[in-house]
Amino acid sequence: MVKILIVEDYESIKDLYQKAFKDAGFEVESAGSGAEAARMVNEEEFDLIVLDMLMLEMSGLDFLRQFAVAKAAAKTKVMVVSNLDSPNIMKQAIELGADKYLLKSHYTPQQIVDEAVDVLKTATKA
Amino acid sequence: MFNNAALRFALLEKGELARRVNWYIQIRWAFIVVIAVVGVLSEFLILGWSKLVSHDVIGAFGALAANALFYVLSRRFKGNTQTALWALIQIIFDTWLASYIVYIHGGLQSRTIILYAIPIIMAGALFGRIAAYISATLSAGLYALVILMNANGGAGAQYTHAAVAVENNVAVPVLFYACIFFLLAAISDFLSGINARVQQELAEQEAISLASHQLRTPATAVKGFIATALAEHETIPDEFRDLLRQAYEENERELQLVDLMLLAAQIESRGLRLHKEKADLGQLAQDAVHEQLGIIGKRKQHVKMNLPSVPVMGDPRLLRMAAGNLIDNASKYTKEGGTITVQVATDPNGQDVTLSVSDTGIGIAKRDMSKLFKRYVRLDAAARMGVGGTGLGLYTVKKIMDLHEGTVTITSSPEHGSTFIMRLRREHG
Repeated sequence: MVKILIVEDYESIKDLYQKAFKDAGFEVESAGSGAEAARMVNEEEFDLIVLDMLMLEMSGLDFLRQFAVAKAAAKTKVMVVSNLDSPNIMKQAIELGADKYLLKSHYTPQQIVDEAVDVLKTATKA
Repeated sequence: MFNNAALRFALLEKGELARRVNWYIQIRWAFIVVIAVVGVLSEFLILGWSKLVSHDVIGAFGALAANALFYVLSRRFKGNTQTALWALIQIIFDTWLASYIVYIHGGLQSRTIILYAIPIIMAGALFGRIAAYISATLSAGLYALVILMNANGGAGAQYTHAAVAVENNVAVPVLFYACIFFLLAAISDFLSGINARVQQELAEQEAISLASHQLRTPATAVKGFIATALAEHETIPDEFRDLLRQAYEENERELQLVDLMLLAAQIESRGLRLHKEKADLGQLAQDAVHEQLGIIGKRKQHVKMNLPSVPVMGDPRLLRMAAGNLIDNASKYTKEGGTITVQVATDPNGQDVTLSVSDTGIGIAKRDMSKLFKRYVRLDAAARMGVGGTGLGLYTVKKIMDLHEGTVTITSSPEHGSTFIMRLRREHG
């Protein structure tokens, strides 16, 4: 089963995404901050991380910075889903290894799942 | 002590100050290594190993040791005040070092005077405006001292040209170089000013992004809840379903409004950058129409589309927003039962492509045409119709087209309708 980690500190959005992914047949776990996510990725491997950017404790960018080192040859994909659309942050996220950056407000939970399926289909970057 | 506002030192943020100090050390590594290599080679080739202990070589290795010390200290003590202290010591050290090198090279005639430029420029870069002028004053003072020492038979007197200095009046060249130092300080000051403005603009853009993030997030949750409810509960009575759909559409309009206000704010702070790629204008227009079909249907308006695939080079998100604004505008000012026509066409010359949005709405009076693309302008006719709006839609369309080196034009006949035309360069191949 495809395993997804949702990293999101806004509770209601986290619940919505969790439900949408579960209904679509994914195995889902969630974290409320980058720091919690960093601990989780050390313990288990995920196929895809759905990552928010602006979070307390550890931001999405900081998580990516840590994860980029650990990721190295790992097959985990990262899809950033954030309402922060600063071009500077988008660029940094992609440089740090995010496979996609979506503006959260433009997508319903179901559309997020569709985008995730697309990301999972694409070949892992070399 | 460095935070005293009365001194008007612009102490940079911790990370930025450390980054610049690091640069300073790197620049010095480059200088010193070049001087050391050239010094050793020239002394060796000209005088042989026995004379390898010249002032240049001793100075260069001394400077290497000092730079290594600054490098270690800058990493060891990372507090902002400590970093500022090391930076200050480095500037004073470099001014002193430049004076020493000028002194041993004969003072007035020595081209090594150029070394004073480094601490003056770095003082401006690290501590802001006033520091550059203080550094220039310090440099001028030390330089005058060096010239006087040389003229009185100091170390430089071993060079033949130092004798010339003794005979001439030293005041004129000292004043001349003091002026040069102050000119350098002014340049450093000017660059600091530009940098401060750039930093402020970046900070404003980040603040705008953050504010729009906060506005979007709750509306995103609402969007998610309604979409989930609509998708999962087929048993919802039609009446409720319709209410939910309306709530969804209103929420979408709020999100679009946040996007529009963010865009206008980015244009204002000159923070809007294009992310150009090859895009299909027909497809973008189609997406823009689809985003608004709900509201257009509610107004019982008809849409005609002729949207062939035509490649353009541009920012897809912004072009779709511009097209969306024109369609939204056309729909708002057209009565029930009216028609909106959206077309993409290539010009007969094959160079340009147009996206036109026509309506059968209230039209625009000639006297109002020139006001249309100005910010926060809402026309009387719009107010009479009771149509809501921000006065930002057409303004952003115009700015987006300007950024794409395209145009937006309008033809209109009051009571019959208007046509807005976006014109862009067609992408070939």
